[in-house]
Amino acid sequence: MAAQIHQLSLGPLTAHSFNADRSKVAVSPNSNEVFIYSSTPSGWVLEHTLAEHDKLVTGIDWAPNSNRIVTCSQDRNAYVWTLSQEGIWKPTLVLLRLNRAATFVRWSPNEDKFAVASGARIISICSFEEDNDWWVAKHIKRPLRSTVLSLDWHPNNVLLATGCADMKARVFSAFIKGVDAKPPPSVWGERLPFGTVCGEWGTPAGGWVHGVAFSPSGDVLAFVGHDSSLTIAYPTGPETPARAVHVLRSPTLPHVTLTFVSENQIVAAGHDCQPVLFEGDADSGWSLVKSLDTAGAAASKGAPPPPPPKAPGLAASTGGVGRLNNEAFNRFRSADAKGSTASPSALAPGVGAGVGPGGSSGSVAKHLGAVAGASVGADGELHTTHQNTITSVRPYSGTRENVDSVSTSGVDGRLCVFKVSGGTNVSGIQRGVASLRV
Amino acid sequence: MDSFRKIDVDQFDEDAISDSELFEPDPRSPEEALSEARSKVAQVRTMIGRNDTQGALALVLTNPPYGPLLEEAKQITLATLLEILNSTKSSEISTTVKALDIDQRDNLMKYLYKGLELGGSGGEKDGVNCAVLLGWHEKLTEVAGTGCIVRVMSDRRVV
Repeated sequence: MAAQIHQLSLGPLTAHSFNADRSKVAVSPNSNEVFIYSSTPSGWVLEHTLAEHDKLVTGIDWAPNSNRIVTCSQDRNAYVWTLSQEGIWKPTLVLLRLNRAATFVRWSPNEDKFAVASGARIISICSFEEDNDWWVAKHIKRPLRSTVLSLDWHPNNVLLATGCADMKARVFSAFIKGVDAKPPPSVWGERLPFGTVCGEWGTPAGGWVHGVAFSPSGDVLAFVGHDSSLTIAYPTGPETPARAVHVLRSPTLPHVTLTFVSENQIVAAGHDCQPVLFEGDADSGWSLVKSLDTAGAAASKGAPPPPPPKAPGLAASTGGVGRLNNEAFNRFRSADAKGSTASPSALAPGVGAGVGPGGSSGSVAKHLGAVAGASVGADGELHTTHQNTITSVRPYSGTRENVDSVSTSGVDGRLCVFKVSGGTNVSGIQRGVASLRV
Repeated sequence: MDSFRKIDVDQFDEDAISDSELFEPDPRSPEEALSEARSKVAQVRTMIGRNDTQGALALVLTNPPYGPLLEEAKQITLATLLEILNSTKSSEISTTVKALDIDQRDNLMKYLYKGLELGGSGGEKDGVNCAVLLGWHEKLTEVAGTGCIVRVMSDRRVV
């Protein structure tokens, strides 16, 4: 079960980012606006609305030290927002020079530049030019062949990992003269002029690369693909073959986002609606350890979180569904919608008890939960905290080397915080999911 | 009305991504693949004769031919596989599927969908029996999960 659940929107959340002390959060409720909520004892209160974009906001990143927000949107623009003395967020337009939507944005660790991914097969690396007082973009084009879907910065502020819809994860050098000092040599190479490809790996069965992440040391790259795969690569140098490449093919729906929580642990989440923890290293391989949610434990579905804060732009929730949410109503509704004759709570527990290899067998209809990776119960309900795809998982507390909890947001409009130490063991079909070395 | 969807807009794009960039072609030449497929047919027949469905299935599902150039070899492999599927008792499907490794399971799922595609378009022909295929699909999904189906959909190495 999640440590915190906040229903910030009735529609999807396209992106979220917390400030340094986690007292405020910037989210986009699937619109052209960004809402900044402030944490109060009575819940989240809308503090600011950043309305400058014309189209859907696709990426938000809040720089922890310099307290600036960068947003990017399908209108092909990015804005850097700074808080003025009067407490107003002031936008600065960034010339990205893109002819397609921007898809993803991240500040570099030193917060002196940021990278914007786009559908134009281009990554814009933006840095601030003091002389002209504006942000300028440099483009990485080759060898990208399709939309770039995700980015992650190496801790040395120079290397950038990218996940692309051409089924490749790549590591580029985003070295900007005058901004960066020459990085010390690493497993990614010594000479790193702008645009150098330092590594390239594909997904095992041709899935788009949805998410990429560097390990805390920056020596390991992990990425998830739409073929339900997680790949972890251990490079040794620019010309030498990798020390090890581990591939996990999961029996569940694909993950779309991931983050390292320590050098040997990854939290990934996606269409399976629950964050899961993987553990391993270069020599012994990687395996699935547990879900950070209570998935599979069924029946223990918690009370729904409080409704989203009332705010302009957010659809106000009418009494309708909530008022009628009693047992009799649910019984008729499930009979109507799903053809079931018993109310959900009357169904036998033990959903998600598996039909994995060596497990008991049964028909798909009876064991829907086990097949879908134990997150859908036999009653057709999702027994996960998130009720739809998780699109973003980010470190919430702890150090980069040892993250204590992660925050997640997704299509169900919920923002949750999960403790890395919590959760339940996976059951059924997911048990024993381990990597193959390639 | 929606015929515009069939217009090939990529022809106006100099930088369009091509099939060869999306997947590695099968390393075998059409002749090699064909002779390999034929030799597998013979081996599979003897294995079925010895009642070794397990071994026969594993043999067909290891390194199957794929890609647009190997049509003939693909046809033979599909026919052989359907023969095995049709001759397996429904009570044995579960254990047979469980003994396959993950690559073989993914490949089996590819053939199941291909068989269903053929069976759906023109009734039963060439040994395609959709009821049998659906039975296999159910058992395979229980063991390999929805991830297996997602991989079939995303993989461009079409068998």
